[in-house]
Order: sequence, then C-alpha cells, then structure tokens
Amino acid sequence: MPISSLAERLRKARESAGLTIGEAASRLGFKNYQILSNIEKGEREVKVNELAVFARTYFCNMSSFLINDDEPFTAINLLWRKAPTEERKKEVEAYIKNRFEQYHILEKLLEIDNKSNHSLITIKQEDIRTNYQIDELCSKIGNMLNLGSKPALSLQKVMEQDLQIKVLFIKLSDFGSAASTVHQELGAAIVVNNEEAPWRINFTLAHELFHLITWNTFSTAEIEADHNLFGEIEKKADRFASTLLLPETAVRQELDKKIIEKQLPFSDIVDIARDFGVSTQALLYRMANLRLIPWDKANELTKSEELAMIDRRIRNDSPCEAPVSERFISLSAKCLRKGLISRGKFAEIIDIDRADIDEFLEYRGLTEMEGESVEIMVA
Amino acid sequence: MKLWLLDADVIIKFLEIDVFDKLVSLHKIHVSSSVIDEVRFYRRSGKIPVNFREQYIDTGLIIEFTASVAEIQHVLQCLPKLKRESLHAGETESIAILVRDESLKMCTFDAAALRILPFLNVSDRAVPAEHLLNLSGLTLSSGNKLDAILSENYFRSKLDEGKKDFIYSFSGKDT
Repeated sequence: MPISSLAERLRKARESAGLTIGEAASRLGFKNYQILSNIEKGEREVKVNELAVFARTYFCNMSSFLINDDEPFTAINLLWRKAPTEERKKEVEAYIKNRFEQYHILEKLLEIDNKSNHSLITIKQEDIRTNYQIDELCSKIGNMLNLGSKPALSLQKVMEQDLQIKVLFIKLSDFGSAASTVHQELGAAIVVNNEEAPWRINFTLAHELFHLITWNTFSTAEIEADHNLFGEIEKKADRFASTLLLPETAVRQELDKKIIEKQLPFSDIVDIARDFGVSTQALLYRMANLRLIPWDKANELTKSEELAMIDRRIRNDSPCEAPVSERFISLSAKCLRKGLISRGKFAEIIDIDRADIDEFLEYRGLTEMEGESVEIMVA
Repeated sequence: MKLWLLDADVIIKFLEIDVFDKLVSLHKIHVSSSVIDEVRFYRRSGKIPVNFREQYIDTGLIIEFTASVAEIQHVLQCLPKLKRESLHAGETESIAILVRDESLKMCTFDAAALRILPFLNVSDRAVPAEHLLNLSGLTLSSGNKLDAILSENYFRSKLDEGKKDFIYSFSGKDT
C-alpha cells in the first residue's frame, strides 16, 4: 500500500472520530501536532505500534487502515435522550459505533443471525395518539414477550436474547441516560449510561424499547428537527416504560397487600418499587396515573426528604457494580473458547488487562476450555 | 532454540508458573515490540508488576523484533475477513515477524492464533508449551497437573481446527 493511501485513511479516520489534529496528536502521544500532520501528508512513515494506537484512538480496527475491503460500516443514526454537544457528538458516536461493530463481529463469528426482532408489530402514528392506546400497546408487547407480572426482572434478557437487541453500557456522563438506533447492517441497539442507578436502568431500557418499536413510525430526522415532537414522543416513551414495567393488575395486587386503612408507609412504597425493579419515583407516578394518589401528591412525594432517606437506606444493599451486557460478555467468552478471537482481542473487547483474563473468566463463571465432546445419536 | 513467544499471554503464563527465567537462560528468546508493552504484571499469590522492557530487553536477555506496516498488511491479506478481526494488533505483528524469519520456532497457547497459522503456512514452526517445557527439562513434580491450555492435546486440536478452517476457506466460508 502506498504511504499516501495509508495517510489518507488515517486522516479520514481522525475526522470520523471528530478529533482535531491537535487533539488527536495529544491522545496519540505525539510531542507535537506536526508529527501527525506529516503522517497525514504521507511525509513520515507510520510504525506498527503507532498503527495500533491509531486504531484505538480513532475507534476502528487496524485492518481498516491497511485492507481495501475492510471499509468501516456506514454511520449510525443515534436517537439521543440528551444529545452531546456538536463537537463531542462525533467522537462519542464513533466510540459507540465501534462497540456495536465489535458486538456485530462476535455474532458473525458465531454465525448468529443478527437480524433483530425489534419491530415486533407495525405501529402507525395514529395507533399511539392517546395514553389509552399506549397502555394497550404495552399489554400487547408484555404478552408477546412473556414478561410476566414483574417485567423488569426479565426485560434486559428478553431484549438481548429474544429480540437480539444489542444493549451496551457505556459511560455517557453528561449525555443523558441512553440512546438507541436501528442500523441496516448492525441491527437494533441501545446504549445505556453505566453510571445510572440499577433501579433506573430497567425504566431506561423500556423507554428505549419504545423508540425501537416505533423506529419506523417517526423518522429520526423529523424528531431531531421538531423539538415539540421530540418532547411528545419522549412522554409517550415514558408512559410506555411505566405501564410496561408496572402492569396495573400486578401493581394493584401488591399495593392491596400493603395498604392498611387506606395508609401505605414510605418503606412499603420503596419495597414495592424495588420488587418491580423500578425507582420509587417511577412507582409514585404510576400510582398517580392509576389514580391511587393525586398527581400533586406524587410530585410532592418525589421531593420528600424522608422518603428519599428511606429509599437510600433500603436500597443500600443493591449491587453497586457497573451494569454490563451479559450477552456481549457471553458472546466474547464463547468466541474466545472456540478460538474465534484471541486472548488479546478478548482483553481489548472487554477492556481488561491481559493478566486479568483468567480471573475475569473465573469471576463470571466462564471458561476457556471446551471440554470433551459427547456423541449425539441422530434420530 | 531460537524461540518466538507469540503473545503476552504465553509470557504471563510462564511468569506465573515460574518457568520464564529458566526458559530465558536456556533459549534465545525473541518477542515483538507490541508484546513487550502488553506484559505489565502477572499473578502468583498476588499481583506482581513487571517492567518487561527494563528487566529483559534493556539487559539484552530477550531480543526485540519489530514488523513493518507492509509485513502486517501481508498477513492480513492472507486471512479471510472475519479471521482478520480475530486477532489483536500485537498478535498480528508477532505473526508477521514469524512469517518473515523462518529460523524462529514459535510458542503460544492462544487458540485463535493457532487457528491462523495454516493460512500463513507456518504451522510446522509452532511448538506446544508442554513440549517446550519438557524439552527444557521443566517437568512438574508428581501430583501436579499442567494447565490444560498448555497441553500438547489442546495445541494439536486448535491447530487441526485451523487446518480445517483453511480448507473450508476455499469454499467461501468466511470464518
């Protein structure tokens, strides 16, 4: 490959990652931007170890710099709850895209059909105009997915395993709690902020599921251009998440068990929210929505210091480990076990040190060994 | 033996089972530049940090080789698309050097790396870790069992899978 061609690819990769030449040079560890500038002009050769750092910094595979048919996938169109600023957006989206590509490659290596089933039913805009219609949709989806009376307990697994939606947990910091996308090659995907409290994650997943189900109902361009429409859809997604995770009959039954003489202690509210895998705030709004408490009261209670304190105490034993995509880890481990990815690649994908691989596998109850095979009788 | 340690994992494993320094004293060991930076610590009873460059390269105990971009490109071109995705940059560099220097004998227990070797016609230069240890007189005392991934059986089975992959690759199956 001529040096100019590699130089050109490196420049394009940097631009796709949304990095200026100065930012990139500093992240690549060059003493000044002139070195990178010379590389991009084809005036300085690139060393192999530098190429690996380029790939890491620009969120792509090293082979995409060197092989003609390893062109990256087309851009992803993420629907953000709170979009990053324009200057950060490109970089964050390039990172997310790279993670989804890795996910996709794992599926391909294992010969898993990655066609996600996110579009469970065809939904027209007039099908979800009212809250009543959204509640109907929830009940239909809940039944289709066999989510049971406490949907939060199985939602992530069902979304990942049955609907083959790629769910990734990434540190999004200021960029809201989540984003979702449907990509022609990569399938349906959700990225969730891994800093979210565990009891909020289920709500986020259900909210994003609404966006995926209605991906073809509203165009992303239309949503991004119209702030009011975006706000309306967000409200619908929240309604969907609330109704899906807190089914009316199940919630009423649980409340009935705890209400004595029309009174429900704060601690029981927190307990019920915890049992349903949602935040206390989500339960309060659902109770208002079911007309069990007035909206004003729900608003007042979400600000109550006492309730917040009880909530913190009761949830103190909740896992504080950052959430992970079990399916992504399981696919990575399967690929490692079957010799479809190397240990180095595994460490890179999971983002751990090479020396930690064995400990990581042991901790997660995974193994690198295939074990002996059993002969199966063919009928 | 002019020994090529393909990846950081084999070095870390040999450090963990406390045979690395013995191997260094018995063989002319070579490693790629990328691999050197990847060996940062190993575990025995706890986490033991290692400055591999300072301890082994700067002292001349181990020789460092670097591949060129063209050599890496050659390796990638020999592999089907999905196989290219199976390796880490450091392993790709290591394999490129193995292809270049025919006098090197290579040791790894990485299944994906072993499955790549037939595509580059270098399978006969790979040595199972178990064989290397036996050859170096590093046998386990009775009652101790060698880690299964270091065994000759594991090595042979992965190499055989790689040979099958290579044959199937002509049928257009891209794995």
